[in-house]
Amino acid sequence: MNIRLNILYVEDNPGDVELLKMSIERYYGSQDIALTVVETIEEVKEIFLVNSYDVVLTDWHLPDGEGIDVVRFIRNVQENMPIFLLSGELTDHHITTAKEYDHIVCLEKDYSKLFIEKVFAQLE
Amino acid sequence: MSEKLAKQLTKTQQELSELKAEYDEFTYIISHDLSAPLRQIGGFIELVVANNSESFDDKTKRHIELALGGTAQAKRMLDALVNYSRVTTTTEPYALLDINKLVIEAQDELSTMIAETNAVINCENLPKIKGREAQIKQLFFHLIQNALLYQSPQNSPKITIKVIEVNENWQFCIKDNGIGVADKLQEKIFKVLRRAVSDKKYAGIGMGLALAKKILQSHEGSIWLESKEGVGSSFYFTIAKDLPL
Repeated sequence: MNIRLNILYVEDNPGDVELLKMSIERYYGSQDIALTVVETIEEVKEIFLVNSYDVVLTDWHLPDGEGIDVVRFIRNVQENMPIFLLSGELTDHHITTAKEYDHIVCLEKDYSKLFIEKVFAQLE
Repeated sequence: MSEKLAKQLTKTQQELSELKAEYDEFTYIISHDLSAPLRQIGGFIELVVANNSESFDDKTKRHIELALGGTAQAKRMLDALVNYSRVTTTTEPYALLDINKLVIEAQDELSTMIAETNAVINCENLPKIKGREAQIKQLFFHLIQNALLYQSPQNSPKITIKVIEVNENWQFCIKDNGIGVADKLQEKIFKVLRRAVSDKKYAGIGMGLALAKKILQSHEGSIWLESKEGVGSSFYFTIAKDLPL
């Protein structure tokens, strides 16, 4: 029996949310995966304290701040939680900022097989 | 001026001219060459839908909707970026402008939004100032539009427009009773394609204030705000009085 995986996805673009859902369904459809989607950092703060997750994926540009604000909040609560910082186009600034924290991976959003495999590799 | 200095000046002017030509060409490539594939994506998706829509299940219909929405959004962003770049390259001269007239014209363009929200706009008598007409009208359009848009549901916008003279500048203030902007986001909202709200709650692409800032830079001015979440915002901006006609 598969172990249930809880993924928290912080993204305010409905197209990206749908693409991630499709990608998980396509490449990891046989796994028991629960995907929770929130759009803002405020929502992360509310939901993260009452639920437990195995991995967090967050967009860099959020309506009420940046993905790194999500990282800061989560690191204060859980030191080792794997977090993926996503962006349509990664810059040196993204990578340098992310290097300040452990267990952070920067990924460009493309929702390909390789993309989704990189996420799941962190969970193995 | 020494011969050496004159040569340097000529060389710098030539480099500046080449840079401007390169910038214009880049803007043209962005607007023309990227518009074409976007138009094709949107056009062909619509064609596929028109010919096959009856055979699509709900999930496919949603995906088509997202694809068309994404294409339309990209086109809006592209248009806005081109508009933004034109602030720098415009050759429109400064002229003496009747700001009362420009504010009325901006309000006319927003008349549907003003009527739908029962907005009240109080505007004191504004001066004649020097500036570029199309840009100053855009400036007021975007600032008034923001004041109308970023409101709590059921709230009727109350907007006041004032001006004072501060040293060598005109200092305008557009005050609203909207949702306000959190302190940490007050810098972000002036950046290109950046917003402080969710697209789902408030439609937009995040270009109005970036454009306003750019326009004001080309009028030797600046823009800033004072804001309190849930209470409202006051956007202040300055325009130099002595722009050359």
